[in-house]
Amino acid sequence: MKGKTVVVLLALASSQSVRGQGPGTPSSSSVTKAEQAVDKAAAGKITLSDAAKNTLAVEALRQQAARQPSISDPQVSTGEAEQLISALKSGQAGGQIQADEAQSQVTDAKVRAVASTLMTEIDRSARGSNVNLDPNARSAMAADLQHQTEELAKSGLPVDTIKKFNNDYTVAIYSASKSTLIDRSRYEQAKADVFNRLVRLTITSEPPGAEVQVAATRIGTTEILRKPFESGTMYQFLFTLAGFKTTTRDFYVSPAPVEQTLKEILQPEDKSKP
Amino acid sequence: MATVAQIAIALILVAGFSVAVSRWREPDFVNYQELNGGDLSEAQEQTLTMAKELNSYLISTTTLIFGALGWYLTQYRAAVRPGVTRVAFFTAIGLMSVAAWYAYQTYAQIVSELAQDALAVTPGQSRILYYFELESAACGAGALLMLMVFADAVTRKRKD
Repeated sequence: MKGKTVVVLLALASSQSVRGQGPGTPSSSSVTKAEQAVDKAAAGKITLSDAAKNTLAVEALRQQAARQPSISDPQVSTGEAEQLISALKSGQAGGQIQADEAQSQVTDAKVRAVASTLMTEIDRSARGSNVNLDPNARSAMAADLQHQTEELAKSGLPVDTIKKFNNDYTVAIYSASKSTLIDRSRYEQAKADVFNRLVRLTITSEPPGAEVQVAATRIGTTEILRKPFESGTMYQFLFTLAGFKTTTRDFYVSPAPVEQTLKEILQPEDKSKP
Repeated sequence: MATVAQIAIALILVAGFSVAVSRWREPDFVNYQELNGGDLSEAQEQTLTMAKELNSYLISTTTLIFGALGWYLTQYRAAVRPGVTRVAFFTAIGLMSVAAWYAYQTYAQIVSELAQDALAVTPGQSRILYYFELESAACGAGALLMLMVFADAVTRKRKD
């Protein structure tokens, strides 16, 4: 224990202070551990390329961070890794699964999981809010939620969070429509009101101190608190921090809830590469 | 050329202009700033005041030019008025209507943002300034067309 402390202090003294690379930086990154969990879960079931393992590890960590944004060093359990692996089918001709394929299969699986209960959820939330949805309004809402689900699935959110966001959207619509009977035109009007609202997004990273850019505009350094964003828009965030890989994250800002959190897990730069 | 055809051409020109300019000037990212307890900084306040003043100035000036042109055309009727001039006149009317719509959008956007305790006034990253740019473009193009019609009217032989 004493030896470890000395090593850390020596390392701090000998190196220049780099933002985000203090003593809090884990020696083995969360991503490496997550990759190991994915590798273990995939063993004997499916063959993954190294890039695919990394993609799945990042996806698993993003899902964890979305569920519990306050945890500073998210970990992926074997069960969670197995759940991700179960969504994958073998690659072309039973070969290795590549990163893009793995990402798209995981996203599709999330969309399917949400879509399977979408209509039930709409009806349940309507009953819960004492609202009668006209069949046209119901199908329009289902189509909008399907689109939202696809965008949120691409944003690295887990199924339960997507379902929660969808439920928040329906509640926001019922509240904006100010009526117990919602037909198509009333739905469209309420939708316009809901989409006109700005959403407050809190952007964090692990480790903190990363510079965040959107559309080549610097918007601040993590942690960025309650920055207003237009809802119903897919944003591409660029995270930059010395000593860590520059990461791009697509994130869909859904119209509800009005307070959202985006947490990005940064991967240490590969020192072995020139 | 029949008047209906001239109006149709004018409508196409106005629609094409609106679509082209709005796509060209559409911000990739709107950079909203949270207002601290609804308070505006001095810079934000000045930008908003300028946007509002220029907004009213643009619309008033263009309407005035349009009014003056209309008055002149009724007072001094030309013997012959070519189709192109008539299309330009109808297009100017269309652009005036579009400019009025953009002026409304500028104000509506200001109100919407302030009501939500946020404001985006950075050039190229603001919806307020975007609508204002569209309004300026529509007013500018409309005014140019009106001046062309006016120039045509004053140089053409008058009807006896």
